[in-house]
Amino acid sequence: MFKPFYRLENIVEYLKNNVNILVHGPLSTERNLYIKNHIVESETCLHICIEREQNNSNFVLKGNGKTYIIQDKISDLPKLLNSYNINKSTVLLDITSLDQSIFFYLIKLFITSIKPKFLFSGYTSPINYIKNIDNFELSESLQENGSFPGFARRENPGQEKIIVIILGYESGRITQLIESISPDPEVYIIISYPGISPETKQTIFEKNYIELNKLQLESTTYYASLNHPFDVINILKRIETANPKKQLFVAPLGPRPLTLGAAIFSVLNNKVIPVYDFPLEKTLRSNGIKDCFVSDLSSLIKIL
Amino acid sequence: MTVNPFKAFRTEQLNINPWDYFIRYDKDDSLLGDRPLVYEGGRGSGKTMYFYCNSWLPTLKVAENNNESLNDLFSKRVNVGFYHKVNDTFLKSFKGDRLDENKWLSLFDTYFNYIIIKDIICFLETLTEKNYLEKRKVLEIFDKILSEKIGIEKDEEHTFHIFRNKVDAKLDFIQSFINNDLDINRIILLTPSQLIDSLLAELHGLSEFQYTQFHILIDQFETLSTEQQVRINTLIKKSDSKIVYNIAVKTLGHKTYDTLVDGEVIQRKHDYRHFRIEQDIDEEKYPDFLKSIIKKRLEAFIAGDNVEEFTDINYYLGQYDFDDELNELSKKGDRVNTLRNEVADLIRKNQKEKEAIEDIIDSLTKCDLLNLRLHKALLLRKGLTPEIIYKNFLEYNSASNKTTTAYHNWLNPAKPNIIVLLCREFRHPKKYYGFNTFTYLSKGVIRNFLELCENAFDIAIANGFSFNEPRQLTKEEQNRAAIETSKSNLMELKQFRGYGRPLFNFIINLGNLFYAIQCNPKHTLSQLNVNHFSIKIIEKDEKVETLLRMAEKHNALLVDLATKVDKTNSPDIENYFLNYLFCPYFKIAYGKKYSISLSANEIMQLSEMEGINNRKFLNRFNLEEEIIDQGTLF
Repeated sequence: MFKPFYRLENIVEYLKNNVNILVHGPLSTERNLYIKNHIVESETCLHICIEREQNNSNFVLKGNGKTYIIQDKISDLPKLLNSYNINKSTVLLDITSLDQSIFFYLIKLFITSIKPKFLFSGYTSPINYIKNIDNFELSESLQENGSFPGFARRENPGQEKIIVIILGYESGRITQLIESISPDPEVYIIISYPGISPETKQTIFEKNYIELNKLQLESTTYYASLNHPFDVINILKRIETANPKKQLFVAPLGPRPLTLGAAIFSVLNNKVIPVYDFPLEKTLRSNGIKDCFVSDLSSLIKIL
Repeated sequence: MTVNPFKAFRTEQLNINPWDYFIRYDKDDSLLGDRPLVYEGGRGSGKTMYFYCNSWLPTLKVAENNNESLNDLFSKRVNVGFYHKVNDTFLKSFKGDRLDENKWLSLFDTYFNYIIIKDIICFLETLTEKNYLEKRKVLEIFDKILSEKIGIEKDEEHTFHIFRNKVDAKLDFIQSFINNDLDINRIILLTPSQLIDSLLAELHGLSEFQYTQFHILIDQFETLSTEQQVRINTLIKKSDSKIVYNIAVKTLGHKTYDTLVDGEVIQRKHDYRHFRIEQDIDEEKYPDFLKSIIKKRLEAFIAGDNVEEFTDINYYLGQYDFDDELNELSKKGDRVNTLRNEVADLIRKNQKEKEAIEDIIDSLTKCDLLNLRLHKALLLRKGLTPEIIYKNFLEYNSASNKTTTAYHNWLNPAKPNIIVLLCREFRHPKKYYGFNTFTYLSKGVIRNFLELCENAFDIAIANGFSFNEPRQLTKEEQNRAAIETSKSNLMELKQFRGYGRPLFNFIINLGNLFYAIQCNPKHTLSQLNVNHFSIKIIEKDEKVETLLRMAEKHNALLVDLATKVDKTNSPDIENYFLNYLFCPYFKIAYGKKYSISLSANEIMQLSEMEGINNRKFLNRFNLEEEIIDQGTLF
């Protein structure tokens, strides 16, 4: 599969000269600032920040010196984005700290209705994640399972099901997702490998062992690179092609570039049902900066 | 490789035909009837199994398997169920600023109508394929009730396929609107059950369905929003003997009893029949109910002679043997001697009259281990002298009817707690095995029993067990299974949304507290098997209420319904006991005896990480730090 992705350093000059709009999440850590700092010299670049209001579940969009409260993501986001000339712009979507439910929906809008001239995504990976004793607790809490905005899709009760779970470091997230699907689905697992370190694979399995074991479901594991969304798209396509009669669910619980892959795949395949548990992420959840890669999504989407 | 018959324990896992595994808890049960059913229960209490197995497809399959013709089936009173499991991830998206609240709820009503209508179309199509119904008659009814609403023109072809597709198209419209891809004006909104009731009423007009009672079976009701529940409550209220709306709901998941009519609510007994298996099933019948469920599973694995014996779970699990466990402990000679010396020292310390002291020591120490440990506890009780204990022991030993003696009343109820104490003091693992133990541990949650069996057979299979040469599972295999099942269910608590971590902390700390109390070296055995607690209702603030509700909802605590529902005996308090399934993890005795009272503050303290290690707790229950350290900590 065609995988147009670059290390940030190798494409930074191009980005400085061409990116008109940088969309990012909260910039509270050095890691979250990494991409912005590299292309900050571009004077014509508009920065749009979408983040959660402090002590509030609402999101706000900040751009051009103005702040807008997003009451209803599904109707407010398209209205707000339509005012930024996106269709004439090169957009870089920095997903490092952007809320997953937001960029899932943004990807849908950027592919289907508010199409940028060129679309890139960027992600800065950390050296490691913060542990509490032996457990990764990267979220304050998990919310109820639900659909991403723009991706509420009906289950077909009579059809056999498959769920592809993109696993992350946090345990305790799988059972409820699987039990919400009826009849019990066949399970496929995707793990970011190589991830941020050689132990990634082992750690993820360890953290999810009890649940995987308890579910007693045979599962098949695939590995996807952490640096770009393309492997995940490829894997999902293969699973879907091999199981044409089954309804496919995808639960992106892992790192953001893999979630991005799931988002692109879900936009292009409207029978796929993405399910998610909407964690409220902790502000400080990682240490250091390991790498930063940028993916050329426009080129990819054209050939998909 | 031997396959484990208990691998699948959720209805959703029994892909081929759950009906093959379905057992009625009572042959005469008639949960589905003229009155709507509200089936409440925790995970694994059989709600989905019951609802699914009463839907039309399994009903037709059973008739077919029994060589019963459709004419025969429908010639008598028969329930035809339309099963719908609430698709909560989808329904949660029925909100936002694009519509006002009432319109969203009308959209929900519309969605619900079409979902059920689609199933009714499938049911009728199946009956026409089987030549029970005349296709023309059914399509005429569809045309009368559905055509206008779903957009089928007069000159358009009328087939089942077209009707199904049009209904699907309506559902697609709703989906597109929710995802902001379509305008609401493209959707004709319906009132609750508008099409369902009209269609089913027309069907009742057909002679083929004159004895049929239609049941709408709504599973996972708890995942509906409060306002959506109001819509379904309204349908429960208006149910009649021909069309009945029933719900299966997780414990405490029925958030409101309001209906759409101002001031009107649905009430137990008047408007619906409430069924909760832990409460309603006869305790004496429960073991037989479990045996029947297991028998169905084992039948597929056993052939030839002795089918009866080898499909009886008793054969594999046997019964817990108290004497056997005591015998194992009695073999620890050094420990027994140390205990004898401790008892003798206590007698010397407490006996003022020194004359008969050697006789007392001799009698109270040279006895069975069970009595010996009881004597130590009794000697720690205030007001009981060695002489009184000695006299009572003599009386007990010489009595022809021991059950009438005071000593018997000390000894008999204390046995489980004595075993727990001895296991700790003799560094001997407490064992949980036997059909009676597994039945007790599952406490009304059928899935827990299946899980215990599954783990036990998994371990046995790894040890070479095969159904070709069936054998009883060893105590060790069963005990390991009990501990693993207990642990995995406990760990699962962490993941429950919103309250997972505090709930997990609370249960871990509570279990450790019960362990510390049951194993306290200073235990006087006057308060036995402490594994539940009471709280004054007046003390329950919002935080405590939420925590306890979550614990009850997720089966971590079982509420003593005698105190929760029937307030005649103890109107001011409520009792909660730790799910017995967790007892093997905490190495404690099960069985309801004594409770401790906890204040709201103490409950909240236990939900924190520090919890039981707090000095105040140790002092309050007269515990030593040492025992906490030996308990099961995180």
